[in-house]
Amino acid sequence: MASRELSALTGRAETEPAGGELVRLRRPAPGGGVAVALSGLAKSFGAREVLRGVSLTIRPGEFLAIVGQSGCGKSTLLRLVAGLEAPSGGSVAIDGAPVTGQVAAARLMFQDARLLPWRRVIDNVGIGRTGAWREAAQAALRAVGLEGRAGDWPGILSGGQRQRVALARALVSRPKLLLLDEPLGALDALTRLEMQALLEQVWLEQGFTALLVTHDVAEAVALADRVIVLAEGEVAVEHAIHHRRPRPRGDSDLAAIEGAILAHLLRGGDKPRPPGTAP
Amino acid sequence: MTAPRLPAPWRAALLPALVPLALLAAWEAAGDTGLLSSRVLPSPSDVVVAGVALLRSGELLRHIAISFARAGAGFVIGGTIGLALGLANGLSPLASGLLDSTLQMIRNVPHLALIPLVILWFGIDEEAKLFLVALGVFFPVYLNTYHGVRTVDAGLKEMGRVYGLSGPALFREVILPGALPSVLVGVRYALGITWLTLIVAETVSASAGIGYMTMNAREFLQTDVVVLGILIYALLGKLADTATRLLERRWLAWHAAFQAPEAA
Repeated sequence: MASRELSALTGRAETEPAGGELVRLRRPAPGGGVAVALSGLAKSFGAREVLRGVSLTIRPGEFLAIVGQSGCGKSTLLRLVAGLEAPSGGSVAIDGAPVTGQVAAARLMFQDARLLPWRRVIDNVGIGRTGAWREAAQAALRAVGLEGRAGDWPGILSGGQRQRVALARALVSRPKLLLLDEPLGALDALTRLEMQALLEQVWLEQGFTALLVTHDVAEAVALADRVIVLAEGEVAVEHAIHHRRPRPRGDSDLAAIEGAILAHLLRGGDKPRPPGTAP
Repeated sequence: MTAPRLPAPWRAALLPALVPLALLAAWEAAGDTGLLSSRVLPSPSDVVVAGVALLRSGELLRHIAISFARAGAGFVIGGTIGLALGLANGLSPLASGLLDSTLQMIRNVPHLALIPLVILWFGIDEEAKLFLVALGVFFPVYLNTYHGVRTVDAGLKEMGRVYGLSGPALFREVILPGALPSVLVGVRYALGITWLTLIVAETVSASAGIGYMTMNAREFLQTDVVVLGILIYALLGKLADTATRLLERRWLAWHAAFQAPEAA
């Protein structure tokens, strides 16, 4: 219902070719991403097991989404891939090399933009860069549609603009792996749709490997090549989505996939539902 | 019928000055009509006359310069040590484990209670006053720096690390600017303590300075000079506070609280 209204607002057609014609019109630029392999990845904090033996491989340039209820360990998984924390068991390998410590080829986008309030927008984009970074930062701001705000303080930007700056900051170093920790979770519905389109566009242009963690199944289905449902620290189910890009809004096949994943998530929830209440 | 209205900026500037001006006028009137004995409180014009006389003789500037130098030197010494220890304890759990509880214990002793001991140690020389001012300045700077460093947003620090900052670069880009608002609160508070300490120390024992000037004037019943000294302390305190505000406006230009006045 809501997505139909939004698709009308964004002016996209609601009807798409039937299910038999699922074709990819565009693929991301080749060579821009790394392969990621998790094998038996486990993490516990004290006695609490957050991840128990997650194994999966991500192809170079693939867009993988991980969905799950809060507390299922999806953010922890992302932090392990980024090398921010050490696993309790198993390993992460990037292009075959095991991860020990922070991954230089990876950039992480957080749920909140985490801009330095005491640095202007352009300096935030160029954080940690050396040499002639200003031009690259300006180009990254242009790519996210904020080239006019380079000299502003982050404090006066809106939530969506701040997250765009964070995206520009992640992109300026041309990462081979972009890790997204619910980066759109705090944005309003319309801004979120805009940001999804922007993410898809830069991913198609740059061809990095993308790993998105989210609780928004619609977002995962709209963006990812493959959606993985994480439940109780394990991979519960996996859905490949072979669908054209850029993806249309309100597509019935995508809606069906979304429905299937949601059903799985709700069934897998450990809270039994009293009879007679709607899910 | 309607009174002519001043432009808004003028009204904003005049409004806070209205009450002091009215008080000053009432004070002058009470002095001139003999309602207020000049032994108790000389009228403002008498104070101005005394000030001009002392200014002509060069006495006033000499005393102000000496007090100012004491305040400055004591502030720099105490502030530097406070900043250094605050940063060290904020950054290193080892240092804070070792030092913080001791410092918190010493903090609870009012530094002016040490005056007898300080006089025994240093006599009534410059060291005594510097020691007292530095000690008074140390704690607010230390506490606020420590607090500022400890409360820098952990998310920003993590972001800095993900984006390749570590060690001195992380400190310069993230931790120090994040702690700065708190450090400046400590500095403003410390400036107030500086003047307070100096007044007491100069009144107890000194051979020059504004405190000495007022105590000396008291012996000769020169109430106008005593009042002049008090006013000068007020003025110097206000000056120091204004200087810190300017510093804040410059260093914390990014802060939402300092962006409002530009728009107003």
